[in-house]
Parts: sequence; C-alpha cells; structure tokens
Amino acid sequence: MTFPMRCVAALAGILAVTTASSRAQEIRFNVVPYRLDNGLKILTLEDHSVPAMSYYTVFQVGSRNERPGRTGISHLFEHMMFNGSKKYGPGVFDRTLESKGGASNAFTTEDMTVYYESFPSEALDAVVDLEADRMAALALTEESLISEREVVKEERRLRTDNDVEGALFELLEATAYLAHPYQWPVVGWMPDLDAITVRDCEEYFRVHYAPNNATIILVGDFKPDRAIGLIGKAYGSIPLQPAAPQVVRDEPAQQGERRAVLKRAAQLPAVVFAYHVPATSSEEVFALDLLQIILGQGESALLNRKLVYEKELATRVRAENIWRSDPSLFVIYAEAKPGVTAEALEAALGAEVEALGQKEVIDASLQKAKNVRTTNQVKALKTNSGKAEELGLFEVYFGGYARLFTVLKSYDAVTKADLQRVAARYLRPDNRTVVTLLPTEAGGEVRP
Amino acid sequence: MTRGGAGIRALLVLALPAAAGMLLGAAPAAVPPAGGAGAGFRIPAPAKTILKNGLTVLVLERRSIPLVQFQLMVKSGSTSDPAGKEGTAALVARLLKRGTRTRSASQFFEEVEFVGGTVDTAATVDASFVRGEFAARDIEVGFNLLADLVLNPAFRPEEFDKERRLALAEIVDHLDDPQNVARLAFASWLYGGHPYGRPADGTELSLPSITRDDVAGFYEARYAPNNAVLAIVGDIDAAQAAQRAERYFSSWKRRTVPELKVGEAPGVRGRKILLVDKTDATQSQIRFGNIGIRRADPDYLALLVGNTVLGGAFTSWLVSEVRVKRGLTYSIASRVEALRTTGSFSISTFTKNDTVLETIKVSLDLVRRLRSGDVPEADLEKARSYLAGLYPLHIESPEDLAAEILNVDLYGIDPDFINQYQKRVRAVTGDAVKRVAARRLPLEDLAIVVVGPAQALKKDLETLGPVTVRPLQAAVEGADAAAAPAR
Repeated sequence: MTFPMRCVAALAGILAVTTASSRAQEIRFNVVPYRLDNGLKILTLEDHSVPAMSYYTVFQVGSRNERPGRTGISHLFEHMMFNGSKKYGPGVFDRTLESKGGASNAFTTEDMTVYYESFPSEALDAVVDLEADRMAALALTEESLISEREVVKEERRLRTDNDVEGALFELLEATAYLAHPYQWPVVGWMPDLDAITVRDCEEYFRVHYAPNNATIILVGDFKPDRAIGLIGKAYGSIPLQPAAPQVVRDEPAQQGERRAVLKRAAQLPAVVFAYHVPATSSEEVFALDLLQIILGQGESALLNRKLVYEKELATRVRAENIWRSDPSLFVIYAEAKPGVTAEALEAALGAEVEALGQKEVIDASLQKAKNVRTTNQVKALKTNSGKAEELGLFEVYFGGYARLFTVLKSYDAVTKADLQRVAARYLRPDNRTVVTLLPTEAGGEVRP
Repeated sequence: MTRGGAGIRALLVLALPAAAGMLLGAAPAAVPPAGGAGAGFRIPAPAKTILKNGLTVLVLERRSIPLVQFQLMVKSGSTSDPAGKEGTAALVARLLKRGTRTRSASQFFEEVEFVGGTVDTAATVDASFVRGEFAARDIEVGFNLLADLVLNPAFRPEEFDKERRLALAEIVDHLDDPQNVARLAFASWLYGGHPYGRPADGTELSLPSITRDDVAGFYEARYAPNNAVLAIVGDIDAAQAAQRAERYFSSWKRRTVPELKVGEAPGVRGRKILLVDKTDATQSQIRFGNIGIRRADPDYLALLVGNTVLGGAFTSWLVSEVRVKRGLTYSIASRVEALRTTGSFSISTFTKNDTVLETIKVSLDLVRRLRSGDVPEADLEKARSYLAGLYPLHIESPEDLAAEILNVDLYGIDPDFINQYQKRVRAVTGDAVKRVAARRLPLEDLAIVVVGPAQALKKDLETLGPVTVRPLQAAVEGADAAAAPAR
C-alpha cells in the first residue's frame, strides 16, 4: 500500500560544483519520497559507500505543543520511548540494537522530536520492527515514569541548574516571549516534571505520535523497494489520528527593550541579546543567517575581531539566528574578560550589532559569509546520519526536504542592501531582550 | 541556524548521554563490501611519502564529498611543558593562529574564511595538532595557508601578550563548568607528579610565568618535520596531494628534537578522596579510577570489551543499574583512556548531592562483579558486536578517519589496525576479558574526585576513605603535579 509521491530525478548522491562565476555549489541527492495510507511519510536515499545506514524518525512535536503546568513532557516522553512497548519489554530496544552492532539516540527541540539509529545494514529488519512497535503500542507504566522522571531531573540539574549559561538562556527565553510556548525550556520547569502523570503521557502519545505526524528517513546501504515493503507491513496498520490542535503561533509585537538580571555564583559577567525575528520559513532567514556568520562565525567574524581581540572586552562571543517553526530569536552572547563590567560589554556589543543597520557591509564580507554558509551546508552532509538529519530539518522548517537542494541559491541571491534592511528592521534596541549575568560570591553578594 | 555543535545553546536534549549512545554516521567511500558489515569493511592503506626533511605524509582519497581534511600532528604535547610552565605547548598552538611573518592574524583568517575554510590548533598531552578543512577546489589555498601557519609563525610580542591574557581568562571561565573542574582535578589527583597529571592548558599560576621566548623556544625545538606527520583525507588525488605536500612543506628544516622520556605513573594505593568544594551545587560531579594501560598494550581490546560490558554502551551494567533502574543519574560511563606512555581506567557520572555515596557504591559493586569474572556470555557477545558494528561509523567522516590514521602512528600500533579491528574485537575471549578485568579494573586502590558542596558530602565520603577538601580554584591548579620533575 505504498506509492512514490514524487521522484526527484537527479544525479545520485552528488554535490555538483557549478562553473558559474559565483562560487555557489549545488546540492542534489536522489531522495525518493513515499507515503503510506495512514499518512506516514518516508524518505529514502541510497548510498552504498559503507555497509551501514541511518534510520531517522521525526515527529513534528516539541515543547511548542505543550501547556503551562506540563512543560517538559515532550522531552520526558522522548525518554519514555526507550522503556518498552507491546511486543518488546523494557530494555529490549537497546539490547537488540547493540547486539546487532548498532546504536540509537534521540533529541527534542521546541519544534520536533527525533529518534535515530545507526547500524550495519543487515539489522534493518529488526530496526523497522522495533520502531514500528513503539509507534504502534508504547507501554507506559507508573514504574518507568517514576524512574525516568528522576533521570530527566538530573539532566535538568546538569544543563540548567548547575550550568551558568544554561540558566542564562532559560531566563532569556522566559523574558523574550510573553505568549508563545517558546517561553518555557525544552527540558521543562522542575515542578512541572514532578506533575506529569502516566495519563498525560498516554494522551500525549495518542495525539502527537500518530503516523500522519511522522516522517521516516533512511539513508545508506539498503534497497529502497525492500525497505518500503518492510515499513508498509510493520507500520501500515497503525491508525491515522486527527491532526493535533494548532499552536498559537504569534507573539505580540515587542514595543521597547525588555531586561532581566541573573545573579548567581559565577566567575565572569556575561551579556546576552535576543532580537525577535520571523520564523525560519520566512524569506528573510537567508539574510539573517548571513548576518549571523558576519557577526559571529569564525576567527575573522566582526564580534570576534572587535570585542575579543581589538578591544579585549570579551573572552568569547557567539551569534545565532535560531531556526524555529514559529517566530524566532536572533541571539548574541558575550562573556566578559576579567575586570570588564557587564555594562561596558553591553555597550560595545550593542554598538557593533546596531551599526549593521546603518551602513552596508563591504562586498568581501558578504561573499565570505556566503562561502562559509555553503561549506557549512556541505559539511553537514558528510555522513549518512548528517544527510538524514538535514533532510528531516528541512521537512520541519521549510515544509519539504527538497528545499535543501535550492537553499544555497537563496543565500547566493542575498544583497548588501538586503543585509542592511534586515539588520535595520530587526537588530535594534526596541526589539531586543537583554539579560545580564552578574556574578556573586557563593554566599550571594555581587562580586565587586 | 540550529545546528548541533555550532548552536549557541543546548537546543537539543538527548535522551541518552553522548558517551553511551553516540550519534555515529556512516563512512563515505569505504570499499563496498561483498556481504555484511562484519565481513567486508576495508579501508585502503593511506599512501605514505616521507619527504627529505623527514615529514611523513599520509594521504587517503575520500571522493564522495568535495572537502579535504588536513591534520598535521607534531609528536610533542603538554608532556614537554617545563615544570612550572604548564600550558606552554597549548600557548604555542594558540599563537600559531595569531599571525605569520607575512600575514597578520586577521589577514590570515580573512583568507581562510573567505573560501569557507577552517583552521584550528590544539595541544594534547602527547601531541600538538594543526587541523584545516577546505573545499576541494580550494586545495591550493589550503596548502598555502597551512604551510605558512606551520612554517612561519611570527610570535609577535603584542599578540603573545594578548593571547596569554585570553588563555588566562578562559581558565577563569572554565571554573564555572563543574565537568571541566572534575576532569582537571581528577587528572591531577590520579597522576600526581606524572606529566599526564599536569593541566595541558596551564593554570592561573603557570601561564604568567611563560614568556614569548619560552613559546618560540618550544616551537623551534619541537615543531620539526621529522617530529611530525601530515594526514590528508578527502576529495583529492593521492599523488597530487603528495606533490603539493612536497612543494609546500619541503622548506621546513629538519632538526634534532630533544628526546622526551615520560615514565610509568605509579598510580594510587588505597582509596584517596578529593572533595572539591562547590558550595552552590545542587548536583555533584563524580570521577573515580586508577592508572590503566598504554594504547599499545596487548590487553587493549580485551579491556575495551570489558569496559563496554561495564559502562561503555547504553545497555551496559552501569547505565542499567545506576540510571535506568535507580534513576540516580542522566549519564554514567566507564572509560579506557589509553595514551602513549600510560593511561587510566575511570568511571564518570553525576547525581544530586543526596545520592553521591549510593551512586559510588552501586558502581563499585558492578566493578567488583566484573573483576570476579561473573560475566554472562550474552553480555560479552553484545559488547563485541557493538564495538565491531559501530567501528566503521567511528571513522566515517574524513576528520575521524584522519585522526585514526594519526593515532596508529602516534601510539605505535599495527598499521593494519583499522582493518583488523572488527576481526580482533570479535576474537576477544571471555577468558581474556576476565583476566584483564581482574588485573586492570581498580577497586580497592582508587583515586576519587567529587565536585560538590563539601559540608553536605564530607561525612558520607569519609565512609569510603580519607577525604581531602580543596577550594575550587586550588583543585584545578594541578597542586599535585607541581612537584613534577623538569625534563
């Protein structure tokens, strides 16, 4: 009961180099998409260079689909997916995979939950069976929830409660968003983790882990016809579900700077800015990504050069235009050098960033950013798992994997005027949230 | 752009710790096998050329992605740092990036990054590295810039001062990372005065004593072609790569490199506990273990299989008992760190302060069980399959493959190791694992480091052995390595 949706007739697994005057490279893979009657989408990409493959399952659900009081359920649920299903008891998933020479893991973001396995190709039948069984009939028990909750709380203690930067970014999101679910952390608030029940998990599973909310991506050494046959048989009877409730996507327009201060035991002050920007599917994402590179990627990036080396105000600086399904943030982080105050660092950082809206960058900066973006994209496609992950990300953020094949053209089309326009529009003080880290001694007094 | 490693923050929350369930991709362009993964996986031997000046050049073609990976290894690392000047090798590596005789640092990186390339440097205990990655069509640019960086560093005094200030600031910054504090404190606590116990990046005490002349002197003495190996892996013709290496690196002058003798490490007798006081922590970092084996030790693979059973995979005993069954941690792993001269066997984890003692005790019970030889054949078989099956994916990317080729050279192991790995892992017997576990897994003799609030933890830990409490900063200053003899 499977049929090809659309076939991208192209060179198999090739990154072609165009000979045009521009340095743009073309990305083209022979991805073949399928869809089962229950809505499950499958993408296959054959590549026989190693006798192994990657198997990705992408569910379009993440912390943006949660509600206050139950934050963190997406990620906690991701953990529960490894604790047994109807046919296979607790621990069997990983034992089976490891004994066949494979490994598995998963991650959760605001927008998606992704499960993946890498394994020698002969383990494919077992992987399909294991994955289909947990999508069809996950076993959710009180006992495993109690234990897994403690694991996740340790994860939260590691990444947020005992990590200065983690705590700073949690406060940043909570301050920058008023209405949108991006205001809470993917890992969830600690009291919410304690409140999540087995019933919550059952409901979450029914609504969001439907075949029509999932995409399976296979990349590597396998025969697509046979794989599609296996998948059709294993997943075909999982019933389609009504679409999950829509998320409120819009955030009220920001009218003036927002600020927060984090005081905690730390060695050095830090400053982080978050500017509201459109969702990744917006055409402006390309100019914003290039601004990110100009500001923060590489030794010769503007902020690195000016703040770390010329003025010696910062130990490190980073910029990121975060890819998200709904309106997102352009984030800039700087950590002070010893002896430099948060105020001095903030002033210098603000001046550099906001100057971008005042005048055009030079041609070489724009071209360098495009070249860096191109090699970044090529590098992301080095491995089977890299290819599978990129296809999945493009499905989620751009509504279709095929955008991967044209995205470099979109970057190449960005002009200096586009950069200036986008910078002037978004990277301005009234559109930003500023969080400063003021280090205290362990006792609580702010360090002099 | 939300990209794993490049992301500004931890956007991705993994179900399983990286140590246990690594994301491993698949390797482009291994010769396609006849049958399954176990049987036919084969990497051709790298094309080897030794230039007249003694530089070894190893080239492996990987044509499926239009990138080329360069890794130059200089076989001198932080073990060559003079005592009291810890961080010299690391500072040399950093200064290489801060300008050559004809290019300022900013000019250099403008050129690298204009073509979308990357260049980075680092020093580890055993070696120093210069790594670069360029698009295949920019190969000439890559050779030109990398050779300039390696052959003609300027070590300008103002850049030296600036870089040393930055290195010091980073050391201060890293005190906020409990995992980093635990790592540094454990190395020093375990190795004592042995060079492997010294902080490779230096300390707040050692960095100020390093001069520009120390850095230039280290470079002059040790960055020699006859002390280096250049690995090139990627979309490049092997013969042409060797010719270009000759063209760009032949003017590098051979010299006599001072011989370095790093002795055996004595290890720890009895249980020796260091409690690093982090008063505000709600979770404690835990490390414990003892001296293990060097990489060339014939017991290496048997120990690796035993380690996989104990704590090297997600279904290992430690993960099952400590994480899955008891919910005590998010991540626990045991690790064989086998280096050039010696190595360590250790367990790392973290847990809320209340359960530190329970976590250590449960873990030690499992070490005891493995030492006693009580290992089901099914667990051994799973460990062998796991290691063998994932190995091709471990060396899938050009950078991982280049690093593996250099490891073979650095550690002096069988050049065919890469192709023999799966076969040899599958041949490890249960008896070998039992013998090696009984001999190599530390139980009664242990260096233990806990980073957490001393007041809450001290009493509990004293039930395991004598406890030394140190403040955060002192613990990472390598106080135990300070007495290391000068070389």
